[in-house]
Amino acid sequence: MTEVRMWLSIVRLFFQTIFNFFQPSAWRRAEIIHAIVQSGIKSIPIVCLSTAFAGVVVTQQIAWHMDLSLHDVSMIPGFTGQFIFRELGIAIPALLLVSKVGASITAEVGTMKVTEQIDALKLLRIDPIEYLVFPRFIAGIVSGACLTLLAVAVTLSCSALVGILGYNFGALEFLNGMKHFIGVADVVCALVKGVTFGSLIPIVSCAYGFHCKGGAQGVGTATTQAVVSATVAIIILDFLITYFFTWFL
Amino acid sequence: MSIRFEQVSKSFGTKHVLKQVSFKVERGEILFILGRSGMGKSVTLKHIIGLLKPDSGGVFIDGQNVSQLDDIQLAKVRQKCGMVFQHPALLDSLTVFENIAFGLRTAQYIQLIGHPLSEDDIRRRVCEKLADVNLKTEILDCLPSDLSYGMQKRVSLARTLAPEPEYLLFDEPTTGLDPITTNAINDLIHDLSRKLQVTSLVVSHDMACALKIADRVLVLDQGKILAHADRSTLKLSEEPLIQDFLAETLALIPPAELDVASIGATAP
Ligand SMILES: Nc1ncnc2c1ncn2[C@@H]1O[C@H](COP(=O)(O)OP(=O)(O)OP(=O)(O)O)[C@@H](O)[C@H]1O
Ligand SMILES: [Mg+2]
Repeated sequence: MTEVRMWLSIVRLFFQTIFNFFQPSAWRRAEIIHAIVQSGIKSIPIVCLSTAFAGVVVTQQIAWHMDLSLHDVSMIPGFTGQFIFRELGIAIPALLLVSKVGASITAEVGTMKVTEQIDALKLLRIDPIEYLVFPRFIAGIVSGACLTLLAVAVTLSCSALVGILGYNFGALEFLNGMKHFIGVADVVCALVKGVTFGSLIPIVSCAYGFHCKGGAQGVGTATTQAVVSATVAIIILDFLITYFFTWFL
Repeated sequence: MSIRFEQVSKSFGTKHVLKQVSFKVERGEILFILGRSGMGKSVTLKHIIGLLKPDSGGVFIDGQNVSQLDDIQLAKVRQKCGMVFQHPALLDSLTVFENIAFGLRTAQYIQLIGHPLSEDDIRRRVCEKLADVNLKTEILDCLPSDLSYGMQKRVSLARTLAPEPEYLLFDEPTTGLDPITTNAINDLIHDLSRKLQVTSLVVSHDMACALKIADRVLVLDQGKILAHADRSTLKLSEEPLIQDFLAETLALIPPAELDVASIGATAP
């Protein structure tokens, strides 16, 4: 029951945030840039590191199985390429952002809530949604899209590296093999997912932060719940978006 | 020019925090709200600036029902009110200077005084308020997290005083401060109300201070007003809770200080 109510308030917060697009005062340059640095730029190293290893592991697994059962590795580029574009290169940065950016947003907003900073903002006639949520929301969209593209590029390169070094593909050969399986729809799908997840994380995190109760313990509980909810939501949305792109486009 | 509570009730879930509370504060008065922890003192203050809405009854400020105002009218009411929250509630990401200057840069404040303040004026005002709360200007560029709790609390006080509001709501302004600073702040509250006709509501546990500067004292317990008395009649109250509060205080203060409202207090 409380979960349902929480999700209703998340949806409401989403629309309230969207509404700020038309509010010139909401476009605070400094805050938005700060949020992009916090959520996007500072996440680059960890995203690159994790997706690089994921690319290596997955390519090796796929290649090993193909070699074993089909005695043919020529399909590696296509299979890995599609898998990376559809799932791997997208889910990994999204889940990393949940635990890195989402958790810190909930903790920050939650602390502001329990220490009455949010009330103080209202009394200073500042809309907390405009001041706290909107910059993080914009940053989430920008970093979501950019980090997804970056992650896909890194994963693909590492995958290609495994193909070239381990299975005697030529570099061009590997890329051509991928090209056959990847179309414009896949790129659009990746971007749609990146933007969706990137915007979902700050909204869910802020909503849990705003609903924080009690002291430090309340902030801890809210942070855990926000991470769990955002993770589950991302996995479900991932399925829905993939389903949509596979069957309708 | 008054704040009036009429039959205000408020519950959170099944917990009834306020039960038909009514009282009134006139211009220039100092009203102290006393009560044990968790009895709804902070909740009462938050109703005045519309951060909480009553379940029934009404809160009136200058005759306007706060819970029925639209956003623009509510912003005007909030412009008139300053509140010192129980937590320092400073904005973590801004320096002390920016925190105090914040209220001087809002659109409503500029509208109120008719022109934006120059940077020099802002700096002068910030320094002046900082001096009022016994802080040095060296800390202006610090972040709130670099300061001690007591200093943060005083910066928060300075931030509230900066736009010079007509109504001041203090939620335990001196809790956690040393006795010298406590005295200074109590004198400040007293001066504001006597010289500038500022209306003050002070939530406090400090009976001694209530006996010194309050015009009236209100004791909240179990969601109801247990006593509502002038400073002088409070001591005659038979309520056990008030007697307890008084007993604690009387043990600490020499009787001479209780009889005369000795302001401009002698530092211990
Ligand atoms: N936003 C809220 N949601 C739910 N319950 C709340 C909320 N705000 C306050 N309460 C509850 O209302 C009661 C009164 O709280 P309040 O903060 O007014 O107490 P207080 O008198 O200020 O106590 P203290 O002296 O400890 O500050 C408490 O039991 C608290 O749990
Ligand atoms: Mg309180």
